[in-house]
Amino acid sequence: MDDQEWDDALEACYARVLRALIGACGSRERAEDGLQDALVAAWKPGVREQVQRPDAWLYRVGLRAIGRARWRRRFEVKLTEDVRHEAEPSLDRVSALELLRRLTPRQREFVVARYFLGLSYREIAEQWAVSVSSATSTVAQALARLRRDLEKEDDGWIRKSV
Amino acid sequence: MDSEKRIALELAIENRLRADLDALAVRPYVYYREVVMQRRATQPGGRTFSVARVGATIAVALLFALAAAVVLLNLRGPSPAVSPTPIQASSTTPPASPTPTATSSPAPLINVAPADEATLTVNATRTYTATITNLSGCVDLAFVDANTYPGDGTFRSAGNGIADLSSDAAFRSINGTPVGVAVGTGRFSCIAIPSDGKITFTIDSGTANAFVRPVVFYDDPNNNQFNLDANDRPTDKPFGVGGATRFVPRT
Repeated sequence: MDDQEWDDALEACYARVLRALIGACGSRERAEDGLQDALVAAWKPGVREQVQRPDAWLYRVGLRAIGRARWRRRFEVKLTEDVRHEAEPSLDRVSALELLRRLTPRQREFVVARYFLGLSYREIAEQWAVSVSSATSTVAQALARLRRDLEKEDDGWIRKSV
Repeated sequence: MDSEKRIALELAIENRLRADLDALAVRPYVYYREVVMQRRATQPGGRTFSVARVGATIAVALLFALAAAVVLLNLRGPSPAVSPTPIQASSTTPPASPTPTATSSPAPLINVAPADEATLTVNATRTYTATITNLSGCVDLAFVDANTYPGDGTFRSAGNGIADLSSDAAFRSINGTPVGVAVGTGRFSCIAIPSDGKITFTIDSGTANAFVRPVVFYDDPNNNQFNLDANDRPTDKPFGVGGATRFVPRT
């Protein structure tokens, strides 16, 4: 795959990856930073030959970059006062993000990968270096938790969505 | 959760995610590509960048090590490490003399030859040569009884700190000059040390079965005695003892 073909492949999936990162981390700013880090990594020698699904690879690498930035942000938080972790105003009305915030970070990542990017459990297992059963059970736990919360609230969200 | 409910939930989540997330506006790909290219230009990628960082780190470490070595050498000042010759000499060969003066100036020494034993008839003469080095002034000449000389560096004494000298032989010439000393007074004080450090003297004896060894010593306290310490070792240093000469009667 030459540079032009690789650039075309990245262009074809970057938007979906960015939206998936926003869903996983709940922040456009951090998602864009993560995507940029992933794109920089994508142009390193020897990467493209190992990538089968560019969107899955970019998503995974972007999440790692966001995780590293989160660690740096923790130290920054200690140096500042009263930093509140709230969603950005522009994303407040995105109900999907409100739904995903009920999950653990790993559950969010897997749910977005499974139901937004359309990765199979096997592909999730390969990207995160876990077993297929682990990926399946993590998603199942996330679904069960959402189901419990939504039934408790009984707001008809599922019926409206379907 | 039964399968029907699960499928319904999965469909609901999938639809909600797509509806909400796909509605989010994103910048055109050109923007990200330019940002990425700028970052790649400022931070040359991957392996090359890592090699450059490792090389720079090693170079800095070497500079620090060199600076530390220079500082340490300066703190220690001029030492044997700067000039390896003394170290090599001291580590491979033992010192010539245990005394501290041996390293600063050569030790004075008196060597009397011949050192072997000889048998002569009475009144025959034997010539000795005392070689004196690193010493100036004068030395004394005397005899000790070879029968009582143990040869281990000690001399016989009466316990008074003075060596018993022998009067069984006499010096007949010193540096070619005859000296008329009767037998029984075989002792010369303060023979000047010539410039070449060699004093040649001849001895004889009219006493049958006399058995003597000539002694050349530096009379340090200048008391005309050959002084010994508590262990019967000479305190008049340096000194030299020639080979024994036995005078036998004529047959």
